[in-house]
Amino acid sequence: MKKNLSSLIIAALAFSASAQAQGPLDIFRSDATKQKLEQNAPSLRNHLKQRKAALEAWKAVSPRDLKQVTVTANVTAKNRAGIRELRVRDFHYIGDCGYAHGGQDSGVDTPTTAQAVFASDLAESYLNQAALLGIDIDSLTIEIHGRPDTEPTGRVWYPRNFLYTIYIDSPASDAELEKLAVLAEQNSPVATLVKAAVVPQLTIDLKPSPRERKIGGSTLPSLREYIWGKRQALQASKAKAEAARAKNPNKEAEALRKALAPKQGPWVKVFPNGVRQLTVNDKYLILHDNPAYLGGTDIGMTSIEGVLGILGTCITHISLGQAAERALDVDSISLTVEAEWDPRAGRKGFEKVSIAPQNVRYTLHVKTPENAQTVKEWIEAVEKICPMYNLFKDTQTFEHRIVRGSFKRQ
Amino acid sequence: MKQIKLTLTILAALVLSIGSANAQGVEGVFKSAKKKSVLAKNAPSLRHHLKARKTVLEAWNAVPSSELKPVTLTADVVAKNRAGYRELRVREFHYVGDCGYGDGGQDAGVETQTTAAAVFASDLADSYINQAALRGIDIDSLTIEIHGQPDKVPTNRVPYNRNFLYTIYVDSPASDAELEQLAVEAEKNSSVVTLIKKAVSVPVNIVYTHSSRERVIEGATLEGLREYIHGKRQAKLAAQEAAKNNPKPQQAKKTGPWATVFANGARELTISNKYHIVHDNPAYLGGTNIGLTSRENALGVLGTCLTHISEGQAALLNLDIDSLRVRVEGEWDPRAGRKGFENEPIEPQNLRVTLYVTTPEPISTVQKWIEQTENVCPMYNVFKDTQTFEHRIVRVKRAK
Repeated sequence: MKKNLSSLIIAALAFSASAQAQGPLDIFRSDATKQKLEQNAPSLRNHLKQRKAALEAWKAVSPRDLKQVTVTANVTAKNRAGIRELRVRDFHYIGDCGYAHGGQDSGVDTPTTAQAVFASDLAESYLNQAALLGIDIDSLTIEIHGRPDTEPTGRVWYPRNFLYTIYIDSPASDAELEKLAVLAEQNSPVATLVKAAVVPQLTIDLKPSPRERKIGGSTLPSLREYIWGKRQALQASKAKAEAARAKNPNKEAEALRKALAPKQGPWVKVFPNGVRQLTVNDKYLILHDNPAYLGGTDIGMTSIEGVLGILGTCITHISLGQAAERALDVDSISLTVEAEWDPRAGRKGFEKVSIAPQNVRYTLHVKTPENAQTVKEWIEAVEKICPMYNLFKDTQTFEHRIVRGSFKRQ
Repeated sequence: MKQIKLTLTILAALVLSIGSANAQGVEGVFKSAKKKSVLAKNAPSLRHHLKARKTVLEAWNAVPSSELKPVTLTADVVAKNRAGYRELRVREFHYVGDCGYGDGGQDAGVETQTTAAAVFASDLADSYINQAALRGIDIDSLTIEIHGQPDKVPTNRVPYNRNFLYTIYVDSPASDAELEQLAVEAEKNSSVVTLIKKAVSVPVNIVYTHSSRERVIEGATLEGLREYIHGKRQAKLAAQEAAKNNPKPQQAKKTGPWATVFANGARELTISNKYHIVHDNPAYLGGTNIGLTSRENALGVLGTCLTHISEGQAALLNLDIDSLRVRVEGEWDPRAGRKGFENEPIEPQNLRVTLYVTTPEPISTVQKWIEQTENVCPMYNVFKDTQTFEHRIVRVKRAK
């Protein structure tokens, strides 16, 4: 074999992200040529015309030809890594947390993803309204973030009091854009679901596993050991926070205030082909699309499925944390979240049927040597603090503003 | 090239579609299949996309070379600490590569060799669409499946997927001769396949940072990459032992991953039947930049493979490794083939790897470790050796 070590540099160079050049986007010598050639991209205006035809065909479908369906999201806590894998039909993404909480910073965090999912459904609904009303749009991005309560509510921590900003390029009047926003929110199944108080119903599927476990050979560390490691990480984080609090009692409150009042949250960009790209934690991308019958190409899950997904990843994540807190031995955790969605909603004879998914429920599949009572208490503790469970359980509010022009990340 | 026609009944038996798993949830709203197929026409059409792409390619081909410049393509891979899996980042795009539990992974992402084959298929599919657009040939659906085949004569090469056979599943009113001509032109104009066919030796530069041998794991200092590699050693030794007791000859897979072209021109790679990666073109090529380009991903698979094999070799050599990252770079010249640049290759040039490692091991050990990695790394050797591609064409009716 040929030796290919051409040089050996001894240095501790940082792996700079700035060196992540624009690569293939950077081939033009002048901005003028670049701008000219970028008109080669498909146009959102064109897409809206096609979407209008698609929506009219969809609306003309008789409710007799349609049926209610069960929408499903599956989440698995991946063994030794502990990360959450979400699967919806053939789509997937990974949820994770940072190193300080026992994760490895390799996937999206749930509360941020959740807000992006809400924004995605609002963007989708905005496009639908624009298409139906024949209003041209050249670009659309929705940014969303939660805000602190104006009055103390005693609720557990989760992002709420949502403010979303619609960044838009359109020749339409301010009044038209505002009307679109109001109609879009009214017709968003996800915003409708989140605004209502919905208590997800739990079923526990418990399988016993032996308490004794030998790690060695091919029996590598697994979920049980991940949870032990997470316990160490959580205890260390707590000790650090307590030490900081002793040193500066106001600091934690300041940090919390900051966390509750982000100036910019995740955002959703609409591509000229109608596909939506969610940017989460500034560095992860998730695609949402529609099935063919709604004029999409099914390149990603729908936002209706996405919203069940974030409930699942959050409950799974908090279950891991609570198992660590309680020093439980848990060998596997997976979750199935289901709800019924009725495409007949609003059609003749179904005017009263809700556009939001109904009967939200989840099954916790768990393998553990712990007894049923311990598992029950563990999950009760999870439901008490799980951000998404409580976000669903409580009513929520949304406000919007409209900004003309492109979105800029801070 | 072989050209095979199969009837629809035989095609139904092909596992090329995960359509059956798709017919759930939001896909299942119609009571009758007939209604479903009527409403499926709401989706954008590939024919329409091809017309738009023709205009785009003509505008692109008309750009004078003086307006264009070569660019550096970059793919970054990080071995993620305790999880050990590989995170690939290309511009704002990312995916996770992993292996199964038996090899010390957690089955949380794509395996490199299968991904690599899908990347080749994706570039071929994009090239096929370009050729069809330029010639005004209608296509209603296009999927390319690809897999390696055993050597006909022993070659002594290290094990990796090779002797590629790809099958073009196409729905089109065009004649057999037209479809075959498209296939030949597509392969000739595929920048990734041109790169892979050639023997390209990639230099690996090492950037070395020394870390302390002593390490206490407790409190916030959780297990890291070092402990992952120790665990991987256990898994590898156990797997070797199991293989000794129950040797299984390696068999080439009969169907591999595939790339499907969406009606908007984006491509979806399906890997190991359960992971998707989306490829797209920048705006100037008529894309929406919804995913990385296949050219960038070809550099990416070299990076994920080198990172993965480095971890495995570190496990076998019982090394302490605290961090590992790989950057792959290459230059791509969009002027290739234009006036004055007729001899410029269409594939990325000057491929190179920088491997960043933090370890208490001495430099000489690191050097030996990386040499050993190069000796066995499948993708490194795919690039180093010449490769062959064959194709066949199968007509299908667009799935309704």
